[in-house]
Amino acid sequence: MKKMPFKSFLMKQLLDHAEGLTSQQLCNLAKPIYGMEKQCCVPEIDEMMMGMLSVGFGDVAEMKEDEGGNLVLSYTLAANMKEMIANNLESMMKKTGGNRETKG
Amino acid sequence: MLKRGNMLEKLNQKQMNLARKGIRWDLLSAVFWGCIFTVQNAAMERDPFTTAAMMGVLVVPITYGALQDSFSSVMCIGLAAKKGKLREIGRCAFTKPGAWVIVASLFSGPVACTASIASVYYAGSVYPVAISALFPAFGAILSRMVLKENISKRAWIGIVLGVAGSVVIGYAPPAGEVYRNFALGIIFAVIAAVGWGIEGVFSAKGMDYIDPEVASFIRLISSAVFYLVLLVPFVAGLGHGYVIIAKAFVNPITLLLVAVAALLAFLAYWLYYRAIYACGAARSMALYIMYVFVSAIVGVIFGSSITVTYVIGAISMVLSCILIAGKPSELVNLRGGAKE
Repeated sequence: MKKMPFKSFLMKQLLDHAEGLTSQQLCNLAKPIYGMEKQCCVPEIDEMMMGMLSVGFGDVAEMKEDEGGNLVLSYTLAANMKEMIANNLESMMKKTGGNRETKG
Repeated sequence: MLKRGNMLEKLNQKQMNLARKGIRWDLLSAVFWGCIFTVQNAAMERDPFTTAAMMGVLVVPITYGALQDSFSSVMCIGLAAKKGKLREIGRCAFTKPGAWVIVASLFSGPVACTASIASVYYAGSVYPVAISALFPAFGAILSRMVLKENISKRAWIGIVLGVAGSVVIGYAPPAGEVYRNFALGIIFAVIAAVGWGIEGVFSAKGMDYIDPEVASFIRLISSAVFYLVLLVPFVAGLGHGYVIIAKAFVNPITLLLVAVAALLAFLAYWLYYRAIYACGAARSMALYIMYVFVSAIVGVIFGSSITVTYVIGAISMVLSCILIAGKPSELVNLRGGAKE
């Protein structure tokens, strides 16, 4: 099976989980598909999410602190970007046939 | 309430950390690119390129560019393998965002880099380097139009100052230098500026959906492929371009110089693409022109003298950097409503 680009896969997960996902949750979802690849790790995912925030593609759904006082962010797609991102991901998935079993 | 304020502060800090990292990547990238011109010139002054120069206008820049980007591509593949992103390159290259990066690489490599190398070859390194450094101005306008990037008045002033500084630095003609074809060199420099401006914006568009590191690998690899498949076969008579490249392999010093330039190019692009992603296309391009300043310093190390215009240009560029990068909080929200 062809896989989607990793970042696009993460965006697809955010699209499918409107309530928002943390970097750890995204990593857990990606593991079954990209698990053997070094890029499938929380710091990489977190940096991608931060990049998405800065270009206005992403938003913060929820903020909390863990026991160590570290910030834990739950990411979502920016409301005004969802449609455009969904269209682009759809056309990408048609090409790759990508990762459909991870939906929902 | 206090806790939420504290968390918002932490979030802001986290966003600023990425912006600061982007600024560091960008400036470091400019240092690597600033060093490249001296090495490129040294390589092109040796065989087989000196002999190839007699065969046509673009023979040297195309064969040299093909060789340099091919070396850089090998380095890319090595790093991608080490970082576990080798498969991701293939996965991304044949998607729509990958196509944006490939088109960016076409403008950057075969078009802009060939034009840049040709401009240095025909008009020396002084004027062309300054003119090709106009690309951030073109890129800033394009990024405003295509990516809807937010560019504050401060940043605009910084961009103008940076471009002015780079032109001033370049506008100190070295006495007694004889150019091969000055006018042609300047035309190539303008083409380079337009090509690099387009590259910054198109690649930023691609990086919305693919990892910036992978995008930089795609850029270098596809550029090498464009050179080797589309351009090299047709320069200096059918297939002769490959002969020129092959001859470089029996000139160890030439090969070493090309390898050093390829390493500089690889590092510069790897950092530059990540900076575009973290700081936005317009600001990254504007900071990146610090390479003109670095290039002039390298020139001084190798015997050029420091002129008054150089000092004025350098001050202007440093001010430009302060205006563009001095307020990382502006980099937290790069775009005002990006659209497809």
